[in-house]
Formats: sequence, C-alpha cells, structure tokens
Amino acid sequence: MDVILMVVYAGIVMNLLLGGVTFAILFERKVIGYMQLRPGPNRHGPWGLLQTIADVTKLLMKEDIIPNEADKKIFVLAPVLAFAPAFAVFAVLPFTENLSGADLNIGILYILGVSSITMLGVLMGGWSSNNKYSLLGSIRGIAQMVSYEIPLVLSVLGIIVLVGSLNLRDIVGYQESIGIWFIIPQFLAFIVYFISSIAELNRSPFDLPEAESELVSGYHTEYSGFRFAFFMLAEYTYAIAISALATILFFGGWLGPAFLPGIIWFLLKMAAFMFGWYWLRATLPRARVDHLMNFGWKVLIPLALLNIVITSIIKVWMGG
Amino acid sequence: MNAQMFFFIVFALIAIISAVLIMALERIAHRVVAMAFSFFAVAAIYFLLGAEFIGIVQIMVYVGAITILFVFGMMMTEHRNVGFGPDPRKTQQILGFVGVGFLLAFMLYAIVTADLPNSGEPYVGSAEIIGLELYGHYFIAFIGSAFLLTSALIGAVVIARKEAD
Repeated sequence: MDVILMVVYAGIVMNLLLGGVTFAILFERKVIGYMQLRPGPNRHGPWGLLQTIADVTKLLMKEDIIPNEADKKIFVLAPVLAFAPAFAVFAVLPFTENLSGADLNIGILYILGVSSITMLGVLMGGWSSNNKYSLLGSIRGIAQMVSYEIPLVLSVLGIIVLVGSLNLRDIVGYQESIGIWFIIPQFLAFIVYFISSIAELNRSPFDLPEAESELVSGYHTEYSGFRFAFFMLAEYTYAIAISALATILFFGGWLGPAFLPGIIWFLLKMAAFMFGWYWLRATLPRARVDHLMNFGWKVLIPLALLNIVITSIIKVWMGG
Repeated sequence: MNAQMFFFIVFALIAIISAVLIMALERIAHRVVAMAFSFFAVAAIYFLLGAEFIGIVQIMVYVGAITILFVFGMMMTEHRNVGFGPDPRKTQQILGFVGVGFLLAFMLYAIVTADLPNSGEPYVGSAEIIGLELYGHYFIAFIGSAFLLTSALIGAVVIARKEAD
C-alpha cells in the first residue's frame, strides 16, 4: 500500500514539476524582457503563456541526432543521469506541514549528496559528444560545481548548528519557535548560499560552462531535440529544488500570516528567490573563469567558515 | 514477498550485474558508468536497511567523488584504443577461477555459520549516534585521520607546484 502511495506521490510531483518548469522558463523570459524594456514572449497565447509549450513541442518533434563519432550509449544516458538526481531531491522536500515526501532525519544531507550526481551527467554528456567545445564546457562546469559545492554546504552548516538537526521539518519548526526566519540571524550564510547556488546551477552571471561567445553552447552543444530538452528540464528542476531548499532554510518554509494557506506561502517565497536569480541574469555580465575560481575559493569559502565560527560562538554563548 | 524484499532483490541484482559489467565492458567510459550504478545500488540497499546516513555517505563519497575522479583520470589520459584484451595464458585464468572459487566457498561458509546476535532492537546508525561516537569514543582516531588527510593534501600541493614550475 505504501509503495502505491509513493508511486502516486512521485507521479503527481513529476507532473507538477513539468508544469512548474514550463512556467519558470516563461517567468524568466518575461522578467528579463521587462528589465530590458521589451515585452518578452507574447505571440503564443495570452501574455505569451503558451510560449514554452510551443518550444517544447518543437523540440519533441525535431529529428533525434546522435553524432557519428559520439559514444552512443553514454550520449543517450547522460541527459537521464543529469535529470534523475535533480528529480530525486524532491523525495524529501516538505512543502507544508502535512504535505511532504519522506520525513528523512538527514534531509539536508540527502539533498546535498544526491544533487552532486548531476555532475556525472554533465561530465558524461560533454565527454561522450566527442566535441572540443562540449568537453571544455563540461570540464569548466565540473570545476565550477565542485568548487562551489563547498561554500554551498558550508553555508548551510550554520543553520544546522543552530537547530541541532538535519531534518528539514525540524528546521522550519525551529524558525516557528523562535519567531524569526533564518535569513535575519544567518544573513551572511544566505548571501553565500545565494551566490554559490547560482554557480552550482551554472546560471548567469556564472554560466561559463555554456558561454555562447566562447564555447558555442557548452556541454550540450551536440544535443538536440528532446535530449536537449531533457538537459534544460534537469537544469530547471534542479533550480526549483535549490530554491525550495532555500525557502525551507532561510524563509521559514510554509510559515506566514494565516490568510493564505501554507503551500501558497511556500510557492511565493520560492518564486521570490528565483526572481533574484533572474534579476542578476538580466543585469550582470558574465564572470571570467579565473575570477570565478578566485571568488569561490578566496572569498566565499572563508566567509562561509567565518559564519560557522560566529554561529558556533553565539550558540555556546547563548548556552545552547 | 513484500515490497522491501522485492526492492532488495532488484538493487542486489543491479549491484551485481553492474559489478560484472565493470569487468566485462570494453570501453573505460562505460565501465565508469557501470561503477557508478553499482555504488548507487549499494547505497540503495543501505537505505533499505534503515542506515540512511551510511547510504548518503556512500552516495556522496563513491558516486559523487570517486566516480568523478575516475572520469577525470579517464579524460586526462590516452585511453581510446587501449583495450584489455583476453589474456592468452590459460594457467592464469584457471588459477584465478580456483582462487575466486575458494574465496566464495570461504565467505559462504562464514556467512552461513555466522552467529549473528538476534536481539529484538535493530541497531540504527543515525547521524546523531555516529557523531557522538566519533567525537566521543573515537576522538583520537578521528583527529589522527584528519592529520593524515591534511598532510596528504599539503603533499599533493607541494608535488603539483613542483611540476608547475
């Protein structure tokens, strides 16, 4: 019985996610459009609502091209390897008090561990394409994801020290009990989390793995049709997962004034967090490779460590 | 057969088949992917046992780190036309089979005759208990391994710098 429930839950989340990704892409294009004083997509449906659906339909109907010199099995497997872990993250996310997947005691560890597998998909996709731009893009992507995973994990540690639990529900519960969201006492951690999440997702201004001006389109240069759509889907699924995690960690999850139900608050906070990314994408130029690495290792990691030290001192001082 | 048993068999089959594929496949890239699947299936079995922390550590360290390391090793070296062809020497094959057979027999014997403590409470290795043990009972061993890792890290930096100059 439990198994059937799990499968049904996974299916529903999957379908909602597909819809969510569709409109996250539209949201991004609209926001960037307005910021650059143009209307953005507005041809398909009212207010361009069907634009992404049209795009996806086009991608699905395209010819499925596999390069002759590519390592075919890995080439086919790579998009799945990139998408599966991004989707698996949703197994433990609690959306409201009653609506959640597995109530895992090590929820945060699970998310951070599983999401690191996405790298394997990126690496395999770039390598198996047998194309120098793909290979360069994927090596860049991996170097970036490996180095920015460290500040991402370290920035979360401050919250874990404060709460004393790795359970996501406990973290939201703690924020309810102290009556303040973690973004205020852990502001430094939030800044580090925000920046390293952009780099972890290979989003602009840190989208060096796909830098069009240098690398054509990075690790998925050779991909087209629905395999390319799969990579895009993986990227946005992971983006939604990271912003949902940020909502739980820093914005108090489903907490909020009672006139709206918890799930609405959750989605609103998530959308606000994603809006921050789009804002940066519309306004900042792309960073340079060496700047990116220097920034990660020499600025973000020390800041994250400093945050842990300060948090621990405060915790001990408060008699924690 | 309940669901847990079913999933155990599925994951065990995946683990064993991908372990065999690591040896049987021709190209190194395919072997690395098979290895990742094997590690992953083992992690899933940990989850089934209720040892979630160990399962996550398995995923983080083996799938997330070791596999990536292998892929980098594969990309940085010449591999395209190097195959591990069949070994012509028959005696080695026979010796290998005999050795593996003996190992299997010994392990089966040990597993079948093992006297497992059958107390009602299963031991659940949660993150909290492991942390308390690590920082309480095994603190000196923990610090010792931390020193070792630090010295290895410094050594790696020194060697890399020498080669860069």
